[in-house]
Amino acid sequence: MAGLELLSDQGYRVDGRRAGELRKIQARMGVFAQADGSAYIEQGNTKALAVVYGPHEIRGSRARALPDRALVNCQYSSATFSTGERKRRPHGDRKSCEMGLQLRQTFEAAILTQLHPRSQIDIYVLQADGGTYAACVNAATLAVLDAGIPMRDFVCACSAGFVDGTALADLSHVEEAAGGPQLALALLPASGQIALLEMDARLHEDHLERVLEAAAQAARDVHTLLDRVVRQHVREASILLGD
Amino acid sequence: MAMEMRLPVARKPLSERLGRDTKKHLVVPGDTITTDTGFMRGHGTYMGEEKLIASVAGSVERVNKLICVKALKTRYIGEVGDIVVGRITEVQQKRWKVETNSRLDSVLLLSSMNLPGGELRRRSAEDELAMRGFLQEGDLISDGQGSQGHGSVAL
Repeated sequence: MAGLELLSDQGYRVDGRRAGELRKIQARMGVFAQADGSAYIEQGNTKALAVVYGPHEIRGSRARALPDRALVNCQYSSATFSTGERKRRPHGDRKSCEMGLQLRQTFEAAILTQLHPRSQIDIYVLQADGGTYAACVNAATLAVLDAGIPMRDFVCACSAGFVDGTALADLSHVEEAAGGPQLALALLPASGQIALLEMDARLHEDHLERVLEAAAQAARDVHTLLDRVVRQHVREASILLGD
Repeated sequence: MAMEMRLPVARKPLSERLGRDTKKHLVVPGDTITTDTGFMRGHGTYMGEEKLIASVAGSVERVNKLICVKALKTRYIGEVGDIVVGRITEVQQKRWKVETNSRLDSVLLLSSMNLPGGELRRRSAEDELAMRGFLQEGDLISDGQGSQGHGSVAL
């Protein structure tokens, strides 16, 4: 699509948002009864479902058991109907493995892996419209909270890009496909620590500061929303359980 | 013909409709529970930068100087006196591993099993070899004695 303006002169993006504005987020916890923890999140048109099992005894190879901490296992799965073109994704393909690895690194930093021998986190993406890593991390955070697994803090993630000298937060698929630099950031909001930072495009180092700040601010905004969702869920459950 | 139509509205949460409220202190991970260092920290909390921070989403419980956060939902944590039903997953040396849907598999020691005839003696090598004759993988058991042992339940 030649001539598609990602950022207009008045400062509006393709879908009418401002540069630092997030897409509409809706989230729910406790979606599945069978799993220990589950959550569903919608970020604009990107929908992600996360399911957590654990902590439980290590099945399979006992040799993988770590004596002092839990093993976090993440699996990413993308539905065939999730992108514009229906594509059959075999399990264990490169992209799934890489996403799974990134998610694992992110959550090993946040989950307090102490006595529990193993936790397993399975994340499933229903619809991918840009920002899949961020949606997965946000959904997984809620699911881990729902399962009662101790965590240092929330893990909130957001993507950011750079167009015409302005940093854009929370990229949609159209903006990602345009080919500009994109950054994915996962943050622990209370302490401001970065759990994961990923970018595989070329960006001049003078601009890095601004893009990083835009992503960090967007992640903090996501935290505000997720915090509200969790508090409401806990309050609701606590009242209904009646003590 | 007159017809009444109601437009869709956001559903009110059940707690609001029932008119109930809670007096508990509810926290989410990352929340500071207290900056007072005089408290002992229990489950569901951790110490970070001179503050006691919650690590699970739930309600704060305080017993004198001990603060812990009870999570809304966790796996089964065994208590003394609980009656559990479990399935044998493994036969090991001098003990069985039982699956009880808790964080670790529970253990059933050979020494805690009552011998036929009610005799009290040390379990010998023959008893160990005969373990599989008593309980095998896949058997279902139910037990009325529970005691905690380093994170796993001993039946």
